[in-house]
Order: sequence, then structure tokens, then C-alpha cells
Amino acid sequence: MQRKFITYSLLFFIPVLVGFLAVEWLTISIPSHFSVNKKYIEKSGDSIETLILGTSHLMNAVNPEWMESPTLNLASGNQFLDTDLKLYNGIREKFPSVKNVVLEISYSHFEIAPNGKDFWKNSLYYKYYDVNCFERTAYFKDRLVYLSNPSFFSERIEEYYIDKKNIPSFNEYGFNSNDGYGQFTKQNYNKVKIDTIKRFRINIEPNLNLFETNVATLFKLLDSLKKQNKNVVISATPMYLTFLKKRNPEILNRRDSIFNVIQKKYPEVKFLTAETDTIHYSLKNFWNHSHLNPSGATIFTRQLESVLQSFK
Amino acid sequence: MLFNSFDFGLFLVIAYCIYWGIGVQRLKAQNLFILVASYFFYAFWDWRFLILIIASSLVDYLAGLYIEKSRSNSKRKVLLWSSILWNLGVLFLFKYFNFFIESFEALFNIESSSTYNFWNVAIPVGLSFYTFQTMSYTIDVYKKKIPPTNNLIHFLCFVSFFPQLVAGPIEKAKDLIPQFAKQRKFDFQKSKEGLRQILWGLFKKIIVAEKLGLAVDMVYNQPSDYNFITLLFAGTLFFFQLYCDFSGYTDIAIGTAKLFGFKLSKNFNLPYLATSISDIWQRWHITLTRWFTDYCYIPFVSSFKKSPVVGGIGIILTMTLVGFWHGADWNFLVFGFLNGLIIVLERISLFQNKITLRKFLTSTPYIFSFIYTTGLYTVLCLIFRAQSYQQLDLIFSRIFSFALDGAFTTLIGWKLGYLIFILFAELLSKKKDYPLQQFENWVPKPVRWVAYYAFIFIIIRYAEPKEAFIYFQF
Repeated sequence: MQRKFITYSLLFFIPVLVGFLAVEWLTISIPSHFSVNKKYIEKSGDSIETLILGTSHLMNAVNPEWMESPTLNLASGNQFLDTDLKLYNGIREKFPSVKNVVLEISYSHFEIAPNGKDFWKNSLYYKYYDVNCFERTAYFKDRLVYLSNPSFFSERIEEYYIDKKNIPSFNEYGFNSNDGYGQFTKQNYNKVKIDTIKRFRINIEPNLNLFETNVATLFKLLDSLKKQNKNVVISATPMYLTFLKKRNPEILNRRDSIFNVIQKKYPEVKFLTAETDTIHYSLKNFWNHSHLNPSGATIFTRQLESVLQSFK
Repeated sequence: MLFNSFDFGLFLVIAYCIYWGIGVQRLKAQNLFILVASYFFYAFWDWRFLILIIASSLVDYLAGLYIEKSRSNSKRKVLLWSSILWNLGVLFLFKYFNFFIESFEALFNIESSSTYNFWNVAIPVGLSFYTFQTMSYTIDVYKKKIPPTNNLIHFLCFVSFFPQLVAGPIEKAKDLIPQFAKQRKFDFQKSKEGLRQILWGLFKKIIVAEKLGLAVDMVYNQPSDYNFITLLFAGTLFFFQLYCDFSGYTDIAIGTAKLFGFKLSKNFNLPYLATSISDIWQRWHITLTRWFTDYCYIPFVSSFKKSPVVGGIGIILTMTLVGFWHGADWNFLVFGFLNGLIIVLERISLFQNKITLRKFLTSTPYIFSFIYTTGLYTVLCLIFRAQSYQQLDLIFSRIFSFALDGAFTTLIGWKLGYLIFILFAELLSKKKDYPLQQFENWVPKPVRWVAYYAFIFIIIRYAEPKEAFIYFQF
């Protein structure tokens, strides 16, 4: 009886396992920011001078190709301060030449829940950067990419292999020059239409507990960078007018108060706060309400470069 | 280790093979293995929680033995109350301490002090579930409903049995402990049923509950963006999210127990078919309702002269405690209190004692009782879900002012079809424990296998990053 059950179970589950392995292979074969970064690290890790940490705001805003010194953009969607800290601590030894670290503190950065130890991208950090952000011993399963977020990667597989749309076009520094022609392009950059979009992603719920936790994490990161004599830039990327209007003043003021504290406590830290910059950035530089497109990234990268130059 | 994680799948396969590999003749070894596996499963969250569960188990094990041995009534009472105080003390310290301190500070306008809020630790997973289970054991021994067990391993297994450790069903000692004493034979049919029930539970959790959760979160994180119809719709979806999340978990728990030759209690009976709020609590989290009825409501009403007023007060108090059991916050208290109040109102006789609202609702066409129950329970669920008073105020003010500004959205579009599928499947198989039960009796093998693969494909294709079960926090 037992043997029959085990045989049947094996017969049943072997195709599932084979199917799963096939899907995993298809997933890792899709070019990604992580896989390109991995190659770049292997090739030029020793010479990298600037590290970028943060969320998709910075990932989309900085193209290392246009930076004067070798730069690695480790920013990634939804990557908040607690992950930035773990990632930096786990990866820094691979980059002996790093002088500059760019951090992101966007409008509601302090009042968004930290990623925590179960963040799905931890598998990607582990697989591609060899950094364990799980806060526990990792094992083979933790390197499986598809399993970390099946729904997300299923969509990528469909887009890449079946629909053949949104095919990424990465340069050797992991910047996707084909990313960013989305939500605003759909509206043909029609200002009237864009201004009437009612729903887009923005956090307007204040949360003091999260604020305290995230500020503590930031100070921990800044203390660590100070000890290592790194030049630090705190940045906030430009946001489109609709986003700026919808910000909660309570969250904004609390964030800005921490900027003041940082200026006093860490006078050597420099700021690049382009959040409300409507002079250099126009509608055509955004792909949605809070992200720059590659043309916007050209401007922001230039601005960042000039801040980094000021350290010299 | 979440039931919907790879870790649990791997753990289950290994535990299953070792368990049956030990052989049915070696019951002691099998039980010991269940204990080790359960502790490993629990320690996967945080090994420090193990100390607490072992301590709680030992206290009640010894209390049971000494209550039985003791001839003096007063000594028996002291032992019983020592056990109850220990259990409630642990619950209070880990779950309610900060709530009481914060409420006290707010009430007397005292500035928050970190000296008082020293108990800044995570609530051990499943604390409310296993504490209630051990407490019921001691009370039953005291009331001589069951004899205490002399076998420590059986008792430790009863408290920590991994399929139901973290979110129930809350088992009674008389139902579960004897199963550890009885030889368990491998049963091909039971194993198949176990796997099928796990599959059904995973589908409910991963495909329905999590997708509904995404939509509900989107709306309630920014309620001012949505009109009142969407807010009400999201509230209804939250009811179904909660149902699919918890009943999905329960299906996985019962299915897992079946794989190991155990039978756990039914915890849900199509709550969306309830004709009143009273009826909902006979169909929703049945083992919790049973626990509070047996150990709170009945002792309370039987300690007074029988009267409708005492009964009514008993119901309101019991339901308030049910609400508070869910979490240390005012919204849970209010949720429980309102449920109690409505149940009492449903039982009050109207028109010269001729009819109660509950009876009236049972006799009306189902659509009316459905609208009444679902509508009311949706509002109660919004209180249950509220993250702050301000948020609840905003949601209610938009709903009850019929706010039309803001977007209307069907939220999850065609994925709503999965919920409809689940509900239809359950309705068509009302008499079964779950819709896939005895699947082989009405579907040929090739079709069955295709169906299983389709379920697995959908689960894998649409799974979000692993999400905890809502009831794990309680």
C-alpha cells in the first residue's frame, strides 16, 4: 500500500518537477538588471568607485554609462533602507575601490514598511550578488529565482518568450534603455489626460513607528559609511507634478526634518534633492508619476556626476 | 514555516517518509518523531518560542495529574486556577500587555514611557491557539469530563501537533489525545484525500485569498481615492479573502493531519450561506466558537438564575472576548461587542413573543437573509480590518455619505472568476468536507490527473511572493 502510494506520488510529481526546472531555466535566461550587474561585477568589480543604492526611482534615474568613474547601480524596485544596509554590508568587500555611495530618501521613504527578511528579491541578491539578506542560513531553494515570485516571473516569461514585448535592452552597466516608455506613453504624453489619472502609486498614510524604524536604519547605514570614510550622497529623484500635489505634508515635513538632522550630524554628506525640480525636468522626462525615463535619467545622472565631482 | 512555502513542502515530504518509514508497530517512536518534527516546525519561526510552549505544556500536564490525584476540592481548585492564571498570564504578557499600558496612558493622559513598554517582543506564533487548547484540557480534567493522560509524550504532541499548532483547529483533548495512543495504519485512501485537501487549501489561499488581498489592500490603503460602491465591494471581498485565507489554511492543516493518520475537527461550514450573524458564528471558526461556548458562555449563564437578560449579557461578554482573542486592539473589542449585540438583538422576541429576527430571517427567501448577513458582516469586517480609528472613520464616512467622487474599479477583474469557482464548487458539494473529496468516485483517472495538474499550474503560475496567513498573527 505504502509502496503504491509512493510510486503514484513519484509518477505524479516528476512531471511537475521537470516543468518547474524548465520554468526556472526560462526565467534565468531572460536578461535582467541583476544578471547584467553580476557580469559587470565579475569584470570590473575591483575598479568600481561609486555604488548606487535605493529603489526603482534611482535604478531608472542613473545610467552608469554616463558617469565619469566606474559606477554600479544596485538600486532596484522596492528596495528600501533595511535591504540597502544588508546589501551594502554583504557586498562591500567585493569593491575595494569604492569611494562614493549614493543613497535614496524619497518623499515617503521613512514611512513605508521595511522589506524585512522575507523580501522576495532576497533570492536575487543571493543568486546574483552572493549576498544573504535572509537573516538566516540560506540553502539551495533560496537561489531559485522563479520560486521567489512566480506571478511576477510568469508575466516576464510570457512577455519575453510569447508576446515578445517590453524586451529589455541593457547596456553593460545594467541600465535598461528600453525601460520607461509605459504609463505616460500610453497617454501620448497628453498633459490633460495625465493630470486626470486618479490612481497611481503613492503612500499618503503616515506611520510613526515605521518612521522611527527606518530613520534608525538610515543612521546605522550613515554611521557605518562614515567609519569607512566613504563620500555619501543622499538623493531624491524628480517627481511629476501630479505626484507632488498628492504628497502628504505630514510625511514630507517629517522627512525634511531628518534632512536637517543629517546636515548637522553628518556635515560631510551631500544632497541631491531634485524631487521638486521642474526647471530641468518636463513631462517628457518621466515614464510615470514618480519615475524618470531614459531621457530624464540623462539629466539626473549629469546632476549626480556634478555632486560627486564636488567631493574632489 | 508557512504552509504555502517551499520550506513546508520539503519538510512535509521528509517528515512523511520518516514517519511511515518508522513502521506502524513502533507507535512510541512515531509519536516521538511527531513531537520532534512539531518542535522543529515551530522553532523554524524562532527557537526561543519553544521554551514557552514546552513550559506551558508541562504546567498543564502536571496540573492535570495533580488535579486527578488530589482528594480535596479546594486543592483541586487552586491547581485549576494556577493553570488558568499561568495560561492567561502568558497570553497577557505576550499579547495584551502593551495594549493595556497604552490604553492606560491614553486614558489618563500620561506621556508614553519606554519604561513601561519594555515588553517589545513578537507574539509567539499560534500562542492563542495552543494556550486555549491546553487550558481546555485542565478544565476538562477538573470537571472530570476526561481523565488526565499519564503519557507526557502524548500530551506534548497534543499541544504541539504541527498541522494545527499555529492556527488551529482548536482541538479538545478528548478528541486528539486518544489518537496518539491508538496505532495508526497507513491508509492509501486517507493519504490521497490528504493530498487533495492540501491542494484545495493551497488553491483557496494562493489563488483566491492572496489575489483578493492585493485588491483589498489597494483600496483600503487609500480609501479617499475610491467611491462608496468600490469601498463596499472591497469590504465584501475582504470577507471572502478572510474566509479563503483561513479555511484554506484549515484545509491544508486537516489534509496534512490525514497524511499522518489523524483526524482534525471541521472548522468551517459555508459561512456565506449563513442566514444571520448568529448563524455565521455556527459556521465560521467553529472550534473557537465551541471553545468560548463551553468554557465562557455556559459557565457564566449557569452561575446565575436562568433568564433572558443573563443570557444576553453572557452572549455579549463572550463575543467581546471572542473579538479580543483576535488581537490586542480596540477594533477587535468593538468587533466582538457588536457581534454579541447583534446576536442578542436577533434573538429578542418580537410581536408578543411570536417571532425573533433570527427565525424570521430563516423563513424569508434566502436572498434577503444573504443581503442582511453579508451586508452587516461586511461592515463588521471593516472594523476588524481597520488599522486606525482615522482610517475607519474615513472609510465609514465615505460609505455612509455615498461618496461618488473617486474611482470605481472591479478591482481584480476576471480573477474574480476563481472566487466564483470556489463558491460554486463548495455549494455543489455541501455534504462533503471539501469539494475534491472522493473525487475518484465521479471522475475517471485521466481527467482527475489533468485537473490536478491544472490546479498545480494555476497555483504556481499566479502565486505571489509567499504571504503569511492572516490568522497566524492571532
